[in-house]
Amino acid sequence: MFDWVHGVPILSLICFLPLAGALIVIFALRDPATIRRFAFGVALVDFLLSLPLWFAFDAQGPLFQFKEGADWIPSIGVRYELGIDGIALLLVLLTTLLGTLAFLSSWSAIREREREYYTFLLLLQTGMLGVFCALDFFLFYVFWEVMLVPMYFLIGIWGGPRRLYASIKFFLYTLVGSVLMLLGLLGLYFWNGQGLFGWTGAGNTLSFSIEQFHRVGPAIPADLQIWIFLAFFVGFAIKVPMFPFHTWLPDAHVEAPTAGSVILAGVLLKMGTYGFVRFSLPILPEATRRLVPWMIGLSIVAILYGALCAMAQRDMKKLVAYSSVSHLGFVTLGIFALNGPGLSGGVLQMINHGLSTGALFLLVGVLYERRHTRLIADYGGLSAVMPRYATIFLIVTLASIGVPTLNGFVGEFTILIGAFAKSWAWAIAATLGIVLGAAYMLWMFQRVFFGPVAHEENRNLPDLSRRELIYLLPIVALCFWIGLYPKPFFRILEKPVAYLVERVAPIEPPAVSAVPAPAVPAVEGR
Amino acid sequence: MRDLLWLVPLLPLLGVLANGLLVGRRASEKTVAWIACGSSGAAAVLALGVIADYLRSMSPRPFDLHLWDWMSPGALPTGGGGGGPVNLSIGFGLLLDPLSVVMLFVVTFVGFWIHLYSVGYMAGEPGFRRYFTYLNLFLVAMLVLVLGDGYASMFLGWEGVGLCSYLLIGFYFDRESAADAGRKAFIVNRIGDFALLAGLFALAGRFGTLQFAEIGSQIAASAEALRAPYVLGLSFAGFVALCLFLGATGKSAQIPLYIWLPDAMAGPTPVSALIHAATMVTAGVYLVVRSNAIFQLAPGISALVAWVGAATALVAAGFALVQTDLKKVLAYSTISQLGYMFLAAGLGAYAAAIFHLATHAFFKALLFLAAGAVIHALGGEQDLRRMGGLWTRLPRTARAFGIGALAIAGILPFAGFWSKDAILSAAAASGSSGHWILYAIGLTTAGLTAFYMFRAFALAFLGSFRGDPKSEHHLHEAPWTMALPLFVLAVGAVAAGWLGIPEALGGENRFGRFLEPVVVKFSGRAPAEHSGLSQAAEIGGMALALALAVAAILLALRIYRAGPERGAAIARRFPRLHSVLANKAWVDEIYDATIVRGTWGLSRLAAKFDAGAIDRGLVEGAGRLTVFGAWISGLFDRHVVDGLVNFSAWLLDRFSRSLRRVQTGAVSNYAFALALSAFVLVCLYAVWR
Amino acid sequence: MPFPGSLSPRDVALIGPELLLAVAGLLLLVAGAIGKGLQRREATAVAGASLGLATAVLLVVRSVVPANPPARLFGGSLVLDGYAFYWQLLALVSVALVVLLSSREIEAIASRASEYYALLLIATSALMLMVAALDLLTLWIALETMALSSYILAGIFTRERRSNEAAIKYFVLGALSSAILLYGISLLYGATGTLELEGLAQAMPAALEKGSRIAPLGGLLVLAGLFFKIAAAPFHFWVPDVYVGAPTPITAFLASASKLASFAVLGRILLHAFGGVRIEWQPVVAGVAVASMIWGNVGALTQSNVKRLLAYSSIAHAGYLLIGVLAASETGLWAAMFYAAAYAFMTIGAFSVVALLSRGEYAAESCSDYSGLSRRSPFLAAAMLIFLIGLTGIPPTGGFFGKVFLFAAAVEAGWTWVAVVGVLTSALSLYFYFRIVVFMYFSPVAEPAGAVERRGALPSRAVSAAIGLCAALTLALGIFPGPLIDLVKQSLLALR
Repeated sequence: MFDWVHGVPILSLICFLPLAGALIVIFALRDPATIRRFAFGVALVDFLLSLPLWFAFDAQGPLFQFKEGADWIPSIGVRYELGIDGIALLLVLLTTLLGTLAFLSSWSAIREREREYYTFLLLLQTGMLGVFCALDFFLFYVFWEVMLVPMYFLIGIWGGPRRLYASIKFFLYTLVGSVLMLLGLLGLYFWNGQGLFGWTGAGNTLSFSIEQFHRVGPAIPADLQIWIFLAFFVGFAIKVPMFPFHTWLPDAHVEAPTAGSVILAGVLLKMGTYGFVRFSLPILPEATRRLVPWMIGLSIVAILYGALCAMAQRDMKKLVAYSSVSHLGFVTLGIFALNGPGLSGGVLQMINHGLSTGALFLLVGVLYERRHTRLIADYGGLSAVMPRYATIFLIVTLASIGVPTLNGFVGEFTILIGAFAKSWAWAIAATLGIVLGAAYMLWMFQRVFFGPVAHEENRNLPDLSRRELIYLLPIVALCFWIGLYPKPFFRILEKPVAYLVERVAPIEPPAVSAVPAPAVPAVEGR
Repeated sequence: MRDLLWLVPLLPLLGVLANGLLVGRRASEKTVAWIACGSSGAAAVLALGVIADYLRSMSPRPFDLHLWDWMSPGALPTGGGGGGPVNLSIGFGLLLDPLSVVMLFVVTFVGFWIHLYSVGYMAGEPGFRRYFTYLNLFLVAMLVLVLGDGYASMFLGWEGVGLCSYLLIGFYFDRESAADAGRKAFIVNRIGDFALLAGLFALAGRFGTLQFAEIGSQIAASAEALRAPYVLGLSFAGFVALCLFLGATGKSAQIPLYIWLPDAMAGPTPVSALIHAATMVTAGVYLVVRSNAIFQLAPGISALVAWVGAATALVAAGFALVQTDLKKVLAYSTISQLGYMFLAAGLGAYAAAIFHLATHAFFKALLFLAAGAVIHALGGEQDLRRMGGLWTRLPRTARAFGIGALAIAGILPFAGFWSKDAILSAAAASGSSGHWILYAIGLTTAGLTAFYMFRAFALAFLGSFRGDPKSEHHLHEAPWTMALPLFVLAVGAVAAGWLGIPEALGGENRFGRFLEPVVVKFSGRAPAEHSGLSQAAEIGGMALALALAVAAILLALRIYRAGPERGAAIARRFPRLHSVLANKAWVDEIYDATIVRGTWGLSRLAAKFDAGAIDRGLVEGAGRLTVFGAWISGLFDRHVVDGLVNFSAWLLDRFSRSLRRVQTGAVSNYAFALALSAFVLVCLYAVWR
Repeated sequence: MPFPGSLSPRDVALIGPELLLAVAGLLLLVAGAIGKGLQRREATAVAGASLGLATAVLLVVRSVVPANPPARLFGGSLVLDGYAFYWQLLALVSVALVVLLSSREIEAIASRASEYYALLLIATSALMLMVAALDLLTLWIALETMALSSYILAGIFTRERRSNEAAIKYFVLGALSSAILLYGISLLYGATGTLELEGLAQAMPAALEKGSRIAPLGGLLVLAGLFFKIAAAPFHFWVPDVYVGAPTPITAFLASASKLASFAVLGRILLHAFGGVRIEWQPVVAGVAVASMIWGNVGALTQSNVKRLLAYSSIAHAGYLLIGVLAASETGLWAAMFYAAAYAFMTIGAFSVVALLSRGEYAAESCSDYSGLSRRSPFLAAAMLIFLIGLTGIPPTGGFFGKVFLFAAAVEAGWTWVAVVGVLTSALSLYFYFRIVVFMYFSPVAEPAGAVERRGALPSRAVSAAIGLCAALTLALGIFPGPLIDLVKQSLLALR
């Protein structure tokens, strides 16, 4: 019933609908209320448009589907090419969904300069969707950078007290990463074409086609691979953010308005990890194999370090921000385990983190809207006051600390199986993060919801409104779905993940490895 | 009939949904109670039906009800430690075999009666509906735990019960202590789970599945390969066994992770009865028995299990001697009894372990519920020193408690006697080194158990009432909803043991035989199930244990019948020992000082480091550096430009004023201009050459 | 080498555009002199018309003469190749924009409007000759004509002290640099005996073979002179003060047309005359490029005066442009040419915004003058935002593609480290460009006393038109750069 999807340039529609909406908002609309409704309508339609992808996507079909292409800048071989594989599909759906919810959450939170606000929010949608849909590296890069601007404004205009600092920090930090990534991309481009100073190229026609790069990538000499990998790494690692590059995150998260934080945590951070699986692994397998120990090391540091930092935070948003560092550590850990469970778990965990952390920020936003403080110390005993809110908060908390039946568990469990298969020591070190996770999340939950109602002004906070329930319940439902029956997701991920593994760490015949493993399994990917 | 197995956990789940979502906040206690007890009762009945069906066609092959594929995250290049590539697929399903049958019966049966009891006990509580939602939820989780057909499914239940225990311990969340206790329980359990998970990862990586059946067959197939050295100088089996056991110590409150259980008494008493005595805490024992194949391949770890169990049994019994809080006494006795079970499991007497688990479920639940009735009657008083003389005032409760106490003390013919005897004779008969010491510990613990139980009994029910007179005259017997469960469980506490009367006394140890198919038999090595003792020796052992128990009981009654004073006097004679026991050997304090504070310190350090070193240091440092550069360059520009300003100023002069100043100015400024160009050339050459 | 006396009418016809502009300029001068002179509007109209006419003629000329091989005029002292054509076109367009934006600025000197435009037109025609010049002498003369008229333009606001100061500084240092340039030329002539670029192309390698010290020194001095004109570090000392002091439209002119024409000349000399000895000069150019990028961007960090900030940014952009020459490859050259166009539109646009906000004696130069602009006039703010994004090099703007192409050229040619400096500095530039954005969008409308009158809706259709055009072009180049790239590429075909 969804065959019509193949008939239309569905991805372009999904990507540029928000842009069109933004233009209309700028030029056609005046009244804030109308703008609000209209913008939400656009986001909703976009989401509904993206739903058919889920059904029409053929998990057994070709790697990239719904492809469309057109020349853009022929003289340098840049094409407008869109297409998604299973991984991108999930991220696109996540983006449209979270986007819609973010709009809903801004309903009453944003009461000034709505026109600009919704314009930027819509532009942001387009940027992010484009990143996930692009099959041309240059196009990808353009979206990747375009998207920074609206985010900068969202933080800078509607953010908290230190918004100026946070916004420029976010922008500068990520920009530095992406420009270095650009150099890596250029190296790749020229190598694929006429070749690059030290290195003789593959002699193909100059192009930025990602599929083309996938084809030629493995042939790139190891030393060049490593250089390009490092260039990409800076860009992606800052976005993720991986350990030493994470300090922009807490500031950005704390200062950003609710919707901003939701999209930041839910989608933006995934662009980094997405970059790893879309580019670093398949295009630079040799470099990946060589650098795996470093990547894993950083991931584990991020897991533990992020958790420890989170434990000491007094501000809810900051705590959640640091928990993101920790959780994305799990994602990168899974990705660089370079095996089936690790990778599919990693990708699934991207979605999970998007849902649970997105929900957490939405929830904190709900509280902030009522009390205009995010300090944990300003609350306490809320379960008595806002039981519904407490319940949902509890569920989301449990989801994010990986309690079975909820999505977080499935992701972490499979990731850690993958990591364990690579090295038991790594897996165990990472598993410690789960314990810490429980510690800081429950500690926050207790301080906010348990104990006597400490502050009078909390005594009659209104419980969740219908609108708030409407944007929270879908996430909760998804958390349970992924937690109990993730099979459809794994099925969609099966092919892309198998493709990645086959490229970067092909499974050798059983005969070779039938012997008992060495005391400490070799660290290098085989 | 057995095909309806899936319905057993589903029914209480429906209860959860009904109570949690459907009935509004204004639902009457009656409705809520009916939904909760109805669902759990229906589950119990259905469970009986399923069990009956299973027993009727007692097929050796267990009945595995696969519900759905859970996780299928692709292939592993090589199993986590040898083995070829495996395609990982983790299913979710329910399993019916002798072991799960026993657990299923215990959980549903005890579970239902405690639901009923709670109706009376929690009447009028503000969180009535919340309470029953959680309690049903617990039942669901526990059923999944014991019925799960694989480690993954089991782990789901495992975490679920942990969560419910967290919620129910913290039920009175407006008390900090309760909230703290709940968190402590959850996190300590998490530490155990951390090890358990590691075990599961290893298994999944090695076998590509976590289903009990497949793993069992694969283990039987590759027993030798599993003994090959793996990591940390352990064999694969050893590693996994160790991980699983550590997990078990968390859930079942064994050394070193037992500290959460006493605090858990902050929850409502029925919860303590159901979760922290009868069912959840025994999950660890269940896990070990369920994984007996692996443990059999790891004799070293099995020995560890036995010793840890024995040590826990003894130490906890010691702590129980001096507790003044009735529930704390019971809590420590639970820890101690769990130690017994691990002792048995470690010795390979898996059936004995489960047997004790079952009987313990009955009499310990009975004891807790009776204690609950007492506390209820006294309006929340838990301190033994402020009780006394209740035998006449609460006769039913007192008798129920007495039966429970006799059962746990191991008096013929009560349930505890048989299961305890099975363990002791297993200890005596096992071939493992030092088993006599284990036997001795077991025996001593039996004596201590009898003593502290009757100490509690005497302090609570004998002598004269020491509580405040106000509460004295509205002492009242519990309503029928509380009395009936007491009665039923009392019957169980008496009769449950008769299923396992050993051959020595002419019984045929039905229980042991029933569980035999669960225990994997490896060619060559027979599990130490049937004691190799002569009938005479066995009977002698029983007599010895019995005598010891009776003596301990009499002693306890003599000391405490009048009240706590004589006991206190004795305690004063051994101050050092007493303070060690009373302060639980300061274990909590030690943990707090080391692990807890350590973690906190570390986290604060990390946070400081993050804000200071990384952010301010590296990031902003770079920023500062650039700005400094800007300042420098600005300075430079300024100076050069100033030169120009002077120069132009001079030029203006030149057109107006006298010639003399011209030249001087001119000279200086042309000099400057030349200097500029020279500078240019120099730097160009510098770059160039 | 003697200059062939015969002026063939063909040649004269073929430099029609330049002549036309020059004549128009002279006429304006005369008209301004006689009677009460021309009104502002009339002068503007004349100037605009002549520019449009010149453009038309230029296009006609192009269509009639064969592009390959390019036509030589005056015995080979001028060439009409695609390269020259492109830069001439760019010069005409940017000067036209400057005229648009001048229309209101010069109300202060309404009486001398015709003089102003006359100088502008003459400078333009000089520019156009400059980029077409094939021997150093012609080149130097054109350059000087351009320079002299811009000295006067810089100081045209005789009543404003800063303007005079700027003019004098510009003049003094300009003269100095011209001297250096001329000195270099003479040295080159001494060493090689020719002033024609072809001649030099053959003679230079030979001279260096012979180990001549004069030739390289001469070359270096020529470069030094040109570096000064394009405002590359360390020859940029005049830039900040002059840019701040000169009338905004003239600043725009200096930052776009004059800078770019000089760059075109530099490119021609380096790649054509010194093409054979690039190994010798590449390190120098690399050094200058890196210096400019770092100095310009770092220096701008602490500026709070918008014109000063843009001055530093134009220093930095000279550095980026130089990357294109440094690569000494086709890619590099067309990248630089593309970037030049994008840069011209962004800069003129930015200065136009400054001009539009300033009024009479009040110049909107401090960042705080922009506070709350997004609410006062959202579209003006949006336009400025586009320019700043473009100058930073963020899509979707021409600036982004320009930078990408330049860095690509550098990577391709193996000057990766220069590219690394380039990307990092351009990331850094975000900081100060967006300082203005912060004021425009984040800070509330701050109304100093009496500011309302000055700041209210600013009635200048011409300037708004200039801004609109620049914004549109910047975005267009950022979304569909294809056409311009093709134009640039085929204009280079002739150079092969």
